[in-house]
Amino acid sequence: VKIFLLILACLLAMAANLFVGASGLSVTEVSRALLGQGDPVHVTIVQDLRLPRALLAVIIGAGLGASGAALQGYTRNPLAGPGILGFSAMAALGAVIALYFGWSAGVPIAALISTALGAVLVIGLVGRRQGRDVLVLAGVGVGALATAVTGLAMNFASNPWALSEIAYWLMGSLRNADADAVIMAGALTTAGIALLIFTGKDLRTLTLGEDTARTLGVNLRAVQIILIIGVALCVGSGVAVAGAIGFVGLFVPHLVRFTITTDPARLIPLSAFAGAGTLALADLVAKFLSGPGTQLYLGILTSLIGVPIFLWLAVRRT
Amino acid sequence: MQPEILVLGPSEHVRDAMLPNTQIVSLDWVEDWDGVLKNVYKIPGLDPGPAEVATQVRNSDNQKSVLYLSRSGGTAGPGTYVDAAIQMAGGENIVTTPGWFTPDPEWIIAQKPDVILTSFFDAYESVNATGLRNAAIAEFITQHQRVDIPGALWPCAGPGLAEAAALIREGVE
Repeated sequence: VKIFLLILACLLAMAANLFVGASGLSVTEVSRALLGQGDPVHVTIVQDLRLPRALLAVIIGAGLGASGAALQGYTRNPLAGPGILGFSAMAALGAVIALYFGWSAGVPIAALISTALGAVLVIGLVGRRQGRDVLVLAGVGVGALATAVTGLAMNFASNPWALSEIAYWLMGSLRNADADAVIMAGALTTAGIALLIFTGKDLRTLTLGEDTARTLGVNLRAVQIILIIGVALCVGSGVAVAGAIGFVGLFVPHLVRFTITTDPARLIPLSAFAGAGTLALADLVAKFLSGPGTQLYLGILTSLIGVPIFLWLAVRRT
Repeated sequence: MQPEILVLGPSEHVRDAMLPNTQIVSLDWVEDWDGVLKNVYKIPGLDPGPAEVATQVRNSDNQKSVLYLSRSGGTAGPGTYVDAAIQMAGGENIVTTPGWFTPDPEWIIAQKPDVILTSFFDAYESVNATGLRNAAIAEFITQHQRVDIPGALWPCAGPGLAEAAALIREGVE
């Protein structure tokens, strides 16, 4: 029943996104526009603006939720999130470099390439060493490097507009979602979540400890690599199309853990659903709070929600 | 370089002693048409024709609605020099909210302007370039008559703005 309610809540949050927007269309108008009927302007608003935005929220949220659950399962650390492997920072770095050199159309590609580079770096740093600590250290190192280079690019930004571009982009937004972004992020995130779900059984065994898991036949090296690629696909594709959206991957798995299950294997798909619903809901709130001409950035909102939860978890753990 | 006349924009300064034989004209920062005309008349030898023609069509009966969109998807309402230029060109600014702001893409799509006025579309690359990157808005722009004003004309607050108004006038006609 709880799983059914979770999926239902996710669908409702996504549907609500379709019915809420600046143009104040009625439920009937939105319903007709979804079917391609009624005023062509309404059809454009619903099919070309609201639908891609709602779908992208669901896709990115699902990727972040699943990534967070898998990383928390692997590291057995409740404070782990998608950012811990440095892929958000690497994706942001790729995008910032593209912006720095005035190649705005190439932002998504640059973010993806940079994330892939980050994944290769983390895998290279981990090498043949196994264990969560090595992975976390490598991820934190790569993330710190990416953050430093991003700061450097901002430091040497050619003009104030370029700097503000970078700053705004880093705040995360679904405002310019379109069908291309949905297709790209959807395909990559689906592949990423599939890989993460594939590690679920091994993550369950890992709750017994690394040594025990190894004796039970878990190939830690393979799990690490699959995990890195899965998280890179989910996080990289999300940041590539919407900028940095933080903390969703951190607190969503906890919500699922508290309400449904603590099983790391089941936690991954369920956190994907919860992440999808959470980000759709957050975007709905962002729409409500955005005034005429003043956009509330989604990444800012999720951070404002996520930081108190993060602090609560940290205090509770200590 | 010793020009006969040096035109300085608002808040720009140069020491007179550096250009002893040059007449220095300082333009005021203005956001209405009366101010633009004053600036135009300040410049010796400049043909005030385009600005005066624009003034004559200010109250034309057959006004076409105009929506201004910058590269970032921003627009301009009353109290801006864009609004002044639209009025001087005989158009009616579709935006009634005063000042500069970036409306939601849905609001833009819901408008039905006769002419879309664009600017800065050839300027620096920008990730927030909603006017270019948002597929629905890009399509919306192509579906309307479009007049593109070179961004360099706007900040002039004088002859440049008169030229912008003349370009808008051509589009509106």
